[in-house]
Amino acid sequence: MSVSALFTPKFKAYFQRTWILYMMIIPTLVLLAIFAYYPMYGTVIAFQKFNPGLGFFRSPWVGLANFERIFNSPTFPRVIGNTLIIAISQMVVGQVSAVLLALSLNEIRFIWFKRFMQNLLYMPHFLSWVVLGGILMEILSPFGLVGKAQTAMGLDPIIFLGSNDWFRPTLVLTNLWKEVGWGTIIYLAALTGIDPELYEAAAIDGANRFQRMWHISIPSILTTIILIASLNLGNVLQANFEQVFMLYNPTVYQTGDIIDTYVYRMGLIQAEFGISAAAGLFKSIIGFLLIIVSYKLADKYAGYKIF
Amino acid sequence: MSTRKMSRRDFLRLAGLVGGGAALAACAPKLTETAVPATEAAATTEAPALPKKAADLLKAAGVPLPGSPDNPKGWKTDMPDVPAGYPLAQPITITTARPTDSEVIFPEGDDLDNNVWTRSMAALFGINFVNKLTWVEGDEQMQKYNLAMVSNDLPDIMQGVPPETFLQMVEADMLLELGPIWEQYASPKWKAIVAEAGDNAWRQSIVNGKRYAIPAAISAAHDNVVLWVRKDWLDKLGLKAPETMQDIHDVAVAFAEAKLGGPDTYGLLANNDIHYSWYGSIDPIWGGYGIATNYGQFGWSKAADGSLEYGGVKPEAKEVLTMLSQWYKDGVFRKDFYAISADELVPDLASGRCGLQFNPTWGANRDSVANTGADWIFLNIPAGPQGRHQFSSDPWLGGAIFCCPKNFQHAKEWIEMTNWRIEFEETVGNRMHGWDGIDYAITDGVYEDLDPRWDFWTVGPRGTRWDLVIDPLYNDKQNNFYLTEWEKVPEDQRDAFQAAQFADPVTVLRVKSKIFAGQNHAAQALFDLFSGTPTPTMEEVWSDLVDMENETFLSIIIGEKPIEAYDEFVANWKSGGGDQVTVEVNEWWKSIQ
Amino acid sequence: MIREKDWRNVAFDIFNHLFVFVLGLLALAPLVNLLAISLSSSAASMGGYVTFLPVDFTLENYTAIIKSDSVYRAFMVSVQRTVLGTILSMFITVITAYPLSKTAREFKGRNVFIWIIVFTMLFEGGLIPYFMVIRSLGLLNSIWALILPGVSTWSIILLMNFFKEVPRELEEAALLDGASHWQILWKIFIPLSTPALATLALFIAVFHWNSWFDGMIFMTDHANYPLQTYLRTVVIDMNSSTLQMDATTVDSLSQRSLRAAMIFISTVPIMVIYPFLQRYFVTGIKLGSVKG
Repeated sequence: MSVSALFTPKFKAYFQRTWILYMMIIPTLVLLAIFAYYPMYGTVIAFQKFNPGLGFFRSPWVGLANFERIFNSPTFPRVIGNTLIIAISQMVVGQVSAVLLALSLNEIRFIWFKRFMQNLLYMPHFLSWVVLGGILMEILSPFGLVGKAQTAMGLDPIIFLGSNDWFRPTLVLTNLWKEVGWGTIIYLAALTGIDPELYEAAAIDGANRFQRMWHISIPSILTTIILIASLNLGNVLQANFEQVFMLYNPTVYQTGDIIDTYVYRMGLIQAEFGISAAAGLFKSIIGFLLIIVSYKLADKYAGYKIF
Repeated sequence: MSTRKMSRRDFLRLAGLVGGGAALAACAPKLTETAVPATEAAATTEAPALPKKAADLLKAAGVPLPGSPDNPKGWKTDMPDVPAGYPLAQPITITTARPTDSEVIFPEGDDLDNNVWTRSMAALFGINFVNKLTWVEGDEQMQKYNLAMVSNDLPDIMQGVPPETFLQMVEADMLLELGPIWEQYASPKWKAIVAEAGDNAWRQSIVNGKRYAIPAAISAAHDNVVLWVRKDWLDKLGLKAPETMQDIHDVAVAFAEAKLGGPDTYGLLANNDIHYSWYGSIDPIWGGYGIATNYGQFGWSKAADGSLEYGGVKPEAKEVLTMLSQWYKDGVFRKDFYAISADELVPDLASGRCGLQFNPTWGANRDSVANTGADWIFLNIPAGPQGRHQFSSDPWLGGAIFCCPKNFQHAKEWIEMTNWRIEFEETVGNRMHGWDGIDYAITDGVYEDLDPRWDFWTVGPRGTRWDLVIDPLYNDKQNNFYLTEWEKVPEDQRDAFQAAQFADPVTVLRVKSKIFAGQNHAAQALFDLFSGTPTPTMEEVWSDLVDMENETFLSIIIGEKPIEAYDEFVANWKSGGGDQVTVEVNEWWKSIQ
Repeated sequence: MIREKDWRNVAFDIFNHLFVFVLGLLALAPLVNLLAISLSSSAASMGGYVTFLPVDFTLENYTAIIKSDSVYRAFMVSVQRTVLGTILSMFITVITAYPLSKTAREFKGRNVFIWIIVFTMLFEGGLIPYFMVIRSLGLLNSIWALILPGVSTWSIILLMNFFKEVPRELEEAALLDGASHWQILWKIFIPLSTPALATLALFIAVFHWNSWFDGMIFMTDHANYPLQTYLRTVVIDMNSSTLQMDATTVDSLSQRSLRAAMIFISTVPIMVIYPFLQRYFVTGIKLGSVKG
């Protein structure tokens, strides 16, 4: 459309009809411009030895030196590894458990019991990680609930939050505790959408409960499963920053330090702003690619268009 | 539903929302802003040439005087005269940065920026103090300073700026050159104290030969540890007080096995920082072998040839590690000590789970005495192989530093005010114990510490937090005075405060332990001799090296790795930048000889 | 559901119900433990004697909290932020989702706008520049730093998809009647979308209530911390490099019960509101994500 086309009567008529729609969009665009787009200029920090006192214009340029440093240091590659391991474990365990729990809930006979249990199971999702962190530090200490249970069983209490062997499993399990109930919602919704006649037909053909689950329930929600998995893929570099940040401490940096905690520590604690920005930029770019991939997958396999 | 009905309802709903939101935004509790308090207008307008009486100024401004002269069991607090020229005709405002606490208690209507102390300062000097940055814990402090630098909005008085940030601020020319100003206005008393500490005091403050900060002092022997043992347990088992490292081991094992504190009893307190920590430190063990420690890492000490070497890679470290791992196996420590942080250990003492600890005065844990009948005694720390008793200590002066932004106009006033405060609060016998009803209360002649947790804190250099002082030895002088002079006063003639010093055996015990540690300081203190700002290679690799060190050492102690892993660690440390760091540290060391 | 009476199915049913029951208990257990600790005396909780029932019952922790100015202040900051933030976010979401739900022909440039919005979900500039923007707007230490950036792109997308499902005939009929888009939005689309809107509002409110990181970064004055940020300072261990402990501080560190009480209090609003709204979000999720 050329500029002169803006003044044709056809366009004028169009605009008269739709000008208000454009007005409606404006607040979002303004806010995004200010809070999302404008800060993007800060990616230059990744290429400087940034001194906030000197600002962008006077801090020295170092080109790719920051990136070289983080990739040559033993820490950053380890951090990437941790991020991937933690995130993927959480996603896989989370999804499998949610599906199984959904199947289980689907088989509950008493509606009131089902509803009541669901309400209980959804609740941890709404607690913040600050709260949960506080609770977990309590419970997982050797003198807390879990520790005492172990001592009662004659075992040596395991220091979950202080041991490199146990920190990641603790992250996965506690996240599971928080989210598994919530995760079942989608699958349950899909399950209730299955035509009961399919089950009846199968029963008549002699299929028992498990066979019905295996051959009917699961395939029917397969699309949903794939959809969720694809969408999760885009988030894999997040690895649940809030959870890790609340629960980690220097003794578990080896297995628990993720990209976002590294970025935070380098930047705001150690004042290594350039390094922090370089790591952050790296994450953004890879994350961007992953999300594109995940959206394409969601579209291809589950027919789900984001927009 | 007809269209008309919807529109009215919807409109009402929308209006309600918007209106409610606006109302909420308008009349919600007012967020604290760094506003200037009203006292600025109410300050006196004269500027006489003669020093004024502090008490008169306070009375004129309606601010209560510290002390309780009118109470039969009270005392009078002496205040020196305010110097000439104060209070200022034109009141000024100084912004500050300081730690605070989630448990601070203020009387009704007061807060951190508006309390009896700030009002006193306003009345006496015409200086209003307003807090620009506050934090509760260590990381938050660094974060806030870094962000303040980003926004180019620094408070006027900053204390405890981390070295990296300090360097960046100097580089960006953001700081005032405080040295000359201090030279000009600091009182002779203050200068004498700093001079005593020698060049060490200024090490952290000097960049490129210019002094951009003034040093803070900590109370002498504040953090110096002694060995605390539960005498009641010793007696029960018929053991004598431990004197050597081996003794510690044996007593600890005996305690653990006898389970005198319940099923979870163990011997020696320790936490996940095996170097120096403020609670349950094991630094005397390293010290006994000549290895200095610091928070989270080892210190640098003089090698035989006069150069500095890092404690973690000294050959003696291997000896200590072997010993500690044996100790762990024998059950001296808590099984999970490597995952527990310092303050998580407090309940252990309080509930009587352990019997041996290296701690400063607070080793005499009140709760353990109350709940479990503990009888704590303090002893000299054990000797190492060559008979060395050594613990790690900070130099009394020069640790945290105070610096100011370049455009700070009132450094002179701040320093002069501090001069006065030194006169006032660091002269034994002035009897400054706080304000009646705020810091303490006298009920029926009995002194009660109200513990508001903010004390008469001021903003640096004196007393920004609890024990920051100008004269490191002041608190000891004070405690000595209390214990010796007041003991002579007959009991029924003591005022409430004096009586309180002797009323609580735990308090007396603590004071005595502090004096004991202070006496040992000169002979036993082992310093981390590197007090400069991080070297270039340190900036790059040091945190990785420290991480590696912590991992290796902890794993060796708890038996996850064999002692041979130490040799591997040393090799990796050296080749991973440690050697380069050592070179740079020694360059710095030579430059300050 | 098909009902079969043979023993295998009954066994499965029993096991299944038990399994779910146990899981439900597990979901509750930590909270019960927390509550018990908060109602116990500090000696009992320090010694680790408390499991699910209070030992040495006392309300002193809660009274201390209620008396505490700082907790109240942090609580009100959170309330203020949540209410204002949710209203603002919802309003923006609604008026943005509506135009975007039209087709590209009806609303030229639609795809461009969507990409502009989605791109911000994919890429961010980093914390430091973001902080600088907030500062240059003078929003540092102000509650608006926590509210204004609240463009919830995912809710816009969700609501947009939802609006797409509204039958076109309704809109067309209204247009023929001479209604403007604004009227159509408020009179037709909104009423039809109440479950979705309630869900989104709930999610956004919970997000605001639970946020703590932005409060930590943008509030320079401790007194302005929202509740979760404040709570974090209470929960997190003191960094071992903090200088200058003294005996009185150490004495009071064994405040396990007090900490537990603080944590518990901050969960109360959510737990109270939650049962009333849970039916909304269940339907909302279904509507928003499963198509066809």
